[in-house]
Amino acid sequence: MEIVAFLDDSHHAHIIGFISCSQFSHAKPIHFIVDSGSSTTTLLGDDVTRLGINCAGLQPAPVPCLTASGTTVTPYVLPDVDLLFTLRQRWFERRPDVTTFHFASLHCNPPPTQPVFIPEEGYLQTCSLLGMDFLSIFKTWAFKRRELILRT
Amino acid sequence: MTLVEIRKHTDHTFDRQLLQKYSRVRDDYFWILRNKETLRQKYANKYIAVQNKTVEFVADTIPQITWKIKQSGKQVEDYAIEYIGEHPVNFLF
Repeated sequence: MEIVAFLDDSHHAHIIGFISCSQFSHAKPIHFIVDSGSSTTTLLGDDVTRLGINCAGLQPAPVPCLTASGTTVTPYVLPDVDLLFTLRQRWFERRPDVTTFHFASLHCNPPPTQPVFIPEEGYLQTCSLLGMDFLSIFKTWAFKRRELILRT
Repeated sequence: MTLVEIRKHTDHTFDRQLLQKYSRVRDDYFWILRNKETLRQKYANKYIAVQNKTVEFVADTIPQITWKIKQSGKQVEDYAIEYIGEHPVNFLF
């Protein structure tokens, strides 16, 4: 199995996928940054708003999370989540493979109560994090031009 | 570990129209990533919603842009939505 992430000018690796969960019936697009420093795949505030996830009915995570900025947050636990990714198409295949990765739960950071207007802080809510609970199934990581190729 | 199952779809188990829609939105996200510097000149510190490689909606916050899309009678999930910062940043995870 092979998934290809896009490497931007700052060498961040981006993967575009689709997400579905009990709160909405059909899959919706989602933009992840590959984050090997994150234990758990986490949806950040912008995506929580965009996807229309209601955090009010969710349980808080049993263990708080330490962020890269040094602050501790307690995310919510979003149960029964499917992430859909297209796998790299091989030359003899006509259509790309779509594979569903079913998670018992993902972390979900609630959006700020007030909209963020400070430009630098705007970044903190963008791009959800694809964490090691997903990334650890890929044994080989290969870099090629603007691609990070993850292979099981 | 919370990843519990991996299911591979085949031609028979995955809707063709859905796959086309997924491919289009995915291409729009990659278009934004590839053209971020150009977009930065026009949409710095804004959220943009892109469909078919065209910026259709612009707003200051994510609630505003989702509201604009819904008000126009369209679906939020048909758009690639991104925040375009004023300057490139490096994330420290």
